[in-house]
Amino acid sequence: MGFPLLTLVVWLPLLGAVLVYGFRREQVKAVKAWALAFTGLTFVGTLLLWVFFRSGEAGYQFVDRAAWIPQFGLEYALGVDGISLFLVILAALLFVVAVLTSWRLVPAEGLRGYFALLLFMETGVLGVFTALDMVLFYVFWEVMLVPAYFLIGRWGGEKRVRAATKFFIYTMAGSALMLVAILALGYVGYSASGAWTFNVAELAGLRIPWYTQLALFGAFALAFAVKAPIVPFHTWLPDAYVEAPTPVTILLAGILGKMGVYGFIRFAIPLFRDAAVYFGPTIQILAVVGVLYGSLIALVQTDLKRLVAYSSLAHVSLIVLGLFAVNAQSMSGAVFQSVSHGIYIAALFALLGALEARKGTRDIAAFGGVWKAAPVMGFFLLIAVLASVGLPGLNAFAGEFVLLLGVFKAQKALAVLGALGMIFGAWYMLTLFQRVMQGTAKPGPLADLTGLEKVTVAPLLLLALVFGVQPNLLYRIIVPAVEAVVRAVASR
Amino acid sequence: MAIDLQVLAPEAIVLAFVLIVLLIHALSGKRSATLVGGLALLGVVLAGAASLYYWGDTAPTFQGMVAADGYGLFANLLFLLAAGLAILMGLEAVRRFDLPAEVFVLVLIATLGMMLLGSAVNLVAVFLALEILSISLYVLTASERDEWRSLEAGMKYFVLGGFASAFLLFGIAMIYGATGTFSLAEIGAQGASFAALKDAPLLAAGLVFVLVGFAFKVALVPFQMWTPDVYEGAPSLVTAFMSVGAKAAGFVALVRIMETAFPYWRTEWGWALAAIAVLTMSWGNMAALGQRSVKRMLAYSSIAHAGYIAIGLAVAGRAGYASVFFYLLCYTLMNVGAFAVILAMGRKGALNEDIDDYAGLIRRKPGLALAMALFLLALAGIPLTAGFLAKLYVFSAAVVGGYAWLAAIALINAVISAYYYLRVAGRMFFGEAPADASPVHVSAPLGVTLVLTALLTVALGVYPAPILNLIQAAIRPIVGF
Repeated sequence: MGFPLLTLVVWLPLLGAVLVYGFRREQVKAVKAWALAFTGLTFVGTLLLWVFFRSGEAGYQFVDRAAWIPQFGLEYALGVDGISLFLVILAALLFVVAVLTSWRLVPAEGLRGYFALLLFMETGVLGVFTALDMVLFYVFWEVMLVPAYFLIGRWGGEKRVRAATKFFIYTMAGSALMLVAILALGYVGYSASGAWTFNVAELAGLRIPWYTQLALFGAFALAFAVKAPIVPFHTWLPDAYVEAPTPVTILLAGILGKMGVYGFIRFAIPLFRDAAVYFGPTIQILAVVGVLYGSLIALVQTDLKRLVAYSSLAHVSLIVLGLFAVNAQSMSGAVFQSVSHGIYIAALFALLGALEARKGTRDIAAFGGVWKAAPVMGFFLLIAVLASVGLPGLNAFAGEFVLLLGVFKAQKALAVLGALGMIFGAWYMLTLFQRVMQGTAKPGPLADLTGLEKVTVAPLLLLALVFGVQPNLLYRIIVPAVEAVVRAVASR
Repeated sequence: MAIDLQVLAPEAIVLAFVLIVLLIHALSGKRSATLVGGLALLGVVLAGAASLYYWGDTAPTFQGMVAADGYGLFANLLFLLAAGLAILMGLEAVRRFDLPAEVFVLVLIATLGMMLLGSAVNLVAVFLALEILSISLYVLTASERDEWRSLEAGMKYFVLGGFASAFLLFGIAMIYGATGTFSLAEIGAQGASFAALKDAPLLAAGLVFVLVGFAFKVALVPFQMWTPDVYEGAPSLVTAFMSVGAKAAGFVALVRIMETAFPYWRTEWGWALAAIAVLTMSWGNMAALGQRSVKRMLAYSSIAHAGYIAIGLAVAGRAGYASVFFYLLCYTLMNVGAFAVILAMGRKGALNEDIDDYAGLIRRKPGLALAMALFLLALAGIPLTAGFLAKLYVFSAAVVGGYAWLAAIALINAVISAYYYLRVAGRMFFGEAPADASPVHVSAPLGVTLVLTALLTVALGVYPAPILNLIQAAIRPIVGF
């Protein structure tokens, strides 16, 4: 264990949370400044991970290991590979975005608690993407719910408490059986080797009996399906996305859903290879249903946030479709698209939040002709919308194209149906843009984006462009790690 | 056989302090609550120190009635922790609710009963210890003498507890009839020759009756009916003490009896306890869902927790028993913490136990609300708290012992429980404080209790390794090395 960079990155936000909560109530500026400083510093830390990452290698890097509860064989083990690296960076970036979008949104009362919870949540999310011990993973996975619950329940919209509770209970119910499955998996390993371990790298080599695999995969898949979410486990999503305050919506859509996707590719698929292949088609069909259902529901929405929430359901379902085609192309596309979806969905929700803050409503009919009054906002929203519909040259295209190509190789019909989602996407997103930005302006003044809002959203759009033009920045690190997974599944 | 008093030094210290405290109380008149409580606390601390000092001494003494082995000594520490926290809370509660100072004496006597129960290796000693414990609890329950519901609770507890004792005594008599001995070890040795339950009907019936007696005492379904009323009616400090202390004592004794006297029927009672565990946790959680009184909700939830603990007992073996011990320790901390908050919220005439009384607490008393949130999350089993690792230990024991289905049912139950714990937490953080909310005061003894339990709840949840070693060493006298 050299310099514990990863440990530092993961725990830095929690340190920030404690510090921020220690301020006096009136020190509003200091609280905000320190929250920004800590998320910013964490983001810089994750960039360092990228800088020092040895690309082209499949294994875990920056591994930090220490004994934690030796009696259970539990280990404090963190590491990143090509699959998790960009998710970690994305998470850290989105927390900076979340702090910036909170700047004026959150009233001074309770501000300390708000930022402390946000920072606490960041440690949880970063932990999920880096934990190599499965119980540790579960710890981060569950503990992250607590700040999310309080953030939604206290600072959300009208039906916030209901939405927060639903979110918490759904996720916990989904992951409850996963804990039993993790313990059972540990026991399978114990029976085979006589030593307790929950290290994912060591468990990945196990030969697990067929029926055990089915049961364990089912338990894991349920947890990840709720989080992603996959139809029919998605009902908490629109409520939570809509009721959460904008910064939290950004996090929910941008990174929390990716925890489900990540869980599949890191745990469910490589650990239970036979079961993954067996259940794959079923999950893919559910994913296609999700793509079509999400798109169709998005078409008829009259609420800005709800529309994008359902679009997000469709997009994440497409990612899941790619994952379970289990070839290097489709899975690399899925990982890439997880990152790129996080980028443009964050920009979209930030802009919608700005719109809502100005008009005091999310009703699409209340908007119109906004471009004239707010040209910068119009321009930004246009880029975000185009990224979302998969315009070549922007990041979603680079992800979805590769993903669908991979799916097409094996399952032409599913690929075609999945691609339908992109067409629907163009339809509902452009309609949204047209109805909000063009046409006759509705009465009432509408200010353009403030400097802070520009600074918040512009980098995201720039990233969408950079990754769209130069997707290899990501692919050359993602592909080797994904290929290792695909090889492992093929060798079952 | 020599009577080796040294071996019972911790118990002797507690007994001595019972007498000292009674004497001081009699001499110092009415306004001595703080002095009496302080002395009682000193006794608890000294007894704890003695337990550590004599660690590992395994001599059975008093004609083979009690054994001061590592198992009993660790149990002592657990009971003394519960007693210490209760006395600490009592220093405040006695003043706030106008309780008699004898409460401290009764807590000490009950603790003595628990400690004897933990080291008893003879069924007669088991019964005597349990009665010492129970009778002081009956009185403690009714100790808020001018409060109608306290008196009713005491009465109810006394009558039903009497039934339970009778069942237990009947069971002991049958076991004696079958084997001709009260000694656990000898019963175990004789019973080993029976292959099946039907070979020894009298012994089997005795086992069932003993189980029923204990199920009453630790509130396992279907013998839990008394719990909500008694827990709600008793003064909060007493509820805290008996929900953790008496429960722990019951389970500690049960583990020793089952493992020493009836190891040859492990499969049979394992399945019976597994079924009881399922019923207990499900019933407790379902009933807790609808409660508006926070105290009553915790009473039902305590039934659910007894169910989780019963899983460890059903699994048996080293992992199973160790998980029971660890769970009891964690539960003591988080439950006492939660009751300390309830105590802090109330005052004479205004108990403030309704969930609405907690609304907006984060703005009225942020420290108290944060502490309560921590205890509730811990009880729900959220990671980084003691409650999570306690559940993890029980569930992993269940998976290893071939009871994975039991762990799955328990986890679904944990999700249900999260709902009602969250409801209170949500009300504290999201609700608007009632306009007529009375000011909440947290005095020094309560503050110490809260800080101590909160810190330990987190510490055990983050780094339990040293305590786990201690527990694994403690159960060795029971299950071997």
